[in-house]
Amino acid sequence: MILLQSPSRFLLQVLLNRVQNIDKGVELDCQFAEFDDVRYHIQVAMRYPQFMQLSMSLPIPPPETIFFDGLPFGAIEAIKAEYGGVVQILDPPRDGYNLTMKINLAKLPVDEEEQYDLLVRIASLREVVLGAPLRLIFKHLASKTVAPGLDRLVALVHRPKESFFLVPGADKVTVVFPMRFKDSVDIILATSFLQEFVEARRTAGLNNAPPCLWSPTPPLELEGAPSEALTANAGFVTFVIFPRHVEGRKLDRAVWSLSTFHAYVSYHVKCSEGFMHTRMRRRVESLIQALDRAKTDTEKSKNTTQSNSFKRLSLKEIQSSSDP
Amino acid sequence: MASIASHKLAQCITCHAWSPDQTMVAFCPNNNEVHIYRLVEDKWEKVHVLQKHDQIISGIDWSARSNKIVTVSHDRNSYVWNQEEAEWVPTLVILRLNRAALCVQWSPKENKFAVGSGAKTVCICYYEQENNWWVSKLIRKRHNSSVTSVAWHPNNILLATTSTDGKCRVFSTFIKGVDSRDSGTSLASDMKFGEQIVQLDLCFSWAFGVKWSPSGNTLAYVGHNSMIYFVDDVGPSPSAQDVAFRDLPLCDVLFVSERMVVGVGFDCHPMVFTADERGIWCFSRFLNERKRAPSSSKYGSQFSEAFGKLYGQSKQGVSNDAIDSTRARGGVHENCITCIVPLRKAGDGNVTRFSTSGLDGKVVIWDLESQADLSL
Amino acid sequence: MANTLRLYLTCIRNTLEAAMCLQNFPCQEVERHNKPEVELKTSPELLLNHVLICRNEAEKCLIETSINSLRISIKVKQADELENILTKKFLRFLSMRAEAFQVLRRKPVQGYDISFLITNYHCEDMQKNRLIDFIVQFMEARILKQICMKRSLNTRGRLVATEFLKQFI
Repeated sequence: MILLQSPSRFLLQVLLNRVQNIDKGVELDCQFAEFDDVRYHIQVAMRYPQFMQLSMSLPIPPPETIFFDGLPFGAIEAIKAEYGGVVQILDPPRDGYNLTMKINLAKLPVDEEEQYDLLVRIASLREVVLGAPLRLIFKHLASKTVAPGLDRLVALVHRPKESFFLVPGADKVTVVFPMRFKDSVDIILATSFLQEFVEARRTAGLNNAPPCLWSPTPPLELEGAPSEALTANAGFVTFVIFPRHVEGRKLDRAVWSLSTFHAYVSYHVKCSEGFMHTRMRRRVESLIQALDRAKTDTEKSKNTTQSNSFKRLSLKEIQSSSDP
Repeated sequence: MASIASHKLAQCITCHAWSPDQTMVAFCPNNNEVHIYRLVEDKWEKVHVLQKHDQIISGIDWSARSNKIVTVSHDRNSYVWNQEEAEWVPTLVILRLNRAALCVQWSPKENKFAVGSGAKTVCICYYEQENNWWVSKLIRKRHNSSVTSVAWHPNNILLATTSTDGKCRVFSTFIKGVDSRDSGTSLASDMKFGEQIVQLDLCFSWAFGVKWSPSGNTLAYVGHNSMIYFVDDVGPSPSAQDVAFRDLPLCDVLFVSERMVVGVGFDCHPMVFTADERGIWCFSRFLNERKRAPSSSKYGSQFSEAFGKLYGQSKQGVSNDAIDSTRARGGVHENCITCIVPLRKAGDGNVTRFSTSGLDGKVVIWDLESQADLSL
Repeated sequence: MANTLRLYLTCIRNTLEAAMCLQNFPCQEVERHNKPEVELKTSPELLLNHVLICRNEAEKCLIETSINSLRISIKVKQADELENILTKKFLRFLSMRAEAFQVLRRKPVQGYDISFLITNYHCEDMQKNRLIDFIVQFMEARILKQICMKRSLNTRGRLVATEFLKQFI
């Protein structure tokens, strides 16, 4: 798997399971967490097996990112548009969560394929909620307008207390990611990976991809951003998104991949480290074998000589065999 | 090949010595034991294990006439082993050492033995009849580092030592009541115990493996700088020669005659050094190779003719690469040779047979009689 | 490039060939002890001059010899941060297996990335030329593998980037 998938596998599994056994009155109460501190809580009461309560907690936003009623702007509208009558948003949400919604499983479409599609979309709740502002801006970009009521610089949360930034325009949207990593090895690997993005963009096949820049210092676009946002130990990546990148079906993918860009890089950094470790471990083992070979061979040859040693050659034999 | 027998007796051998009749060999298999093997119907059988030391044994000598074995060890002790019926009975020698003992040799008359030590001293041990024990007299404050090798002059008085301070020294070991005044040469008998006769400062590195020629006129020792030194007229005005060779350094040497020395060491191949009529020493060849060594010109003309056909091709390869030539020779020993011991026939000054042992755990017996070109 | 590496390694091999003439030698300072003199350095006369072989400023090999032990210290080239962490990681893996690597010194000599300590005991139970082969092979592998590993990391980075950008086309 190279790209991250939008629907949460676990959530989808639970939903499918519930739908298949809707008649069984099973009590369900489970919590699980995803990358970048997104947590879910699923609850089904025994008495109402057709209702499922799904709560979601988002990463804590930094001060520059504005949440409306605990959610990114446009999230409520996006949920309503996406799920329609199947889902009812509860207000206030469950304690400790940003959003709680009640899913009426009885109202799911009867057609199996449609039903599955809707369940997948519910499992993609993260994309719907966290990607809502991005989707809004990109939708306007696709129609070459600017969404009303936005600042020049929009900050969107993607990790706990960390944001990435958008500069919306009618003909292009500039997306800037300050990249931060905890581990020093991660920083180095990520930096080299990010530079590969710039290099890759230059190849012929990717001429039409969004222009990509990497710099160790904050780009000009971030002018006016709070000072905490301007420090990043793995540098800053800038993508320039044009209308052609978000038109039609590309919109979903653009929203998802940009809202999880940091996780994507981080995931591959960790994979590379694992790969590196495996190779090094193998290398060390083969070196140990090489060293052992220096030893075992002597022992081996000793064994072979042992078998025919103690044989004393007579002087005559030696002389006759050695004289040519 | 000049080796007539090669016996793999242990994993690793530090030193070895032969019984007077040369039917038994005593060696240390790189631990605190001495193993004695006897040749029984073409097979070597372990007959005794001498256990008394508690660290590695660094020196063994087996006296030819009195049939006593002396051992020294890094544990600072020395034992003299006497065969009483079937058993070897040890007698502890109080060496009065506070560091490891490194080497040992019986004096020619076998009434004394010398021990070199890591305490930068030499112990001369002799037997006190009245107390029934071995007494040790020390030569102190003469060496600046460990004493790596000791060698007795045939006169039973002079002792040559080498040390890791790079020097070779000769001392008088005259002990009242043990040695008589008329026993040695006039030079030696005038000296008091422990008096230094000469100090040879020829080597820039550690010195090892000192030996006297059978007559006691020449002294040879080796340096870790791949040199061998020959010293004549040991006394107030010695004359010295040094011979450098291109291979790895030697550890020990043996005079097979007044004019021929065999050296063994890190190269795994015994080297032969010979003196010409004028007494000029030079490297002759490796013992277990038939052709001349590339660096030697001595036997060049005769041998290149005789063996040119057979070895012409490989010879070219040899001159190109020094490392390959070592391997091409195909040594009997596979690791550093640490010890060379003569196999003496009674009453014969010249040695034709000798044995070597090394870290490869082999004891190899060599015979010079099969070496037509090496005239004694 | 490859040619200078060959010369560098040949030089190290020849030096080791000559330097690896070790013998059992008990401590002169402490009774009943037997320690690598190259580490103790208490008796200056038991040490030989050290040899420093440099391929360039960033890559060098220090060979220190004493009567019973030999120390080889290697400095590997670290052109950038990535090479630096590759080296560090690899050395960490090595030191975790130090028991199996009898000749590895737990801590490298100051100023070097990795050190080997070879004593007379290693020469007793290993073949000298194979031990030298091992050291040279190690260095060669170290240098070549580092380049190879770096390349494969870069390739991976490129693939990750390409796949990401492709989504927008």
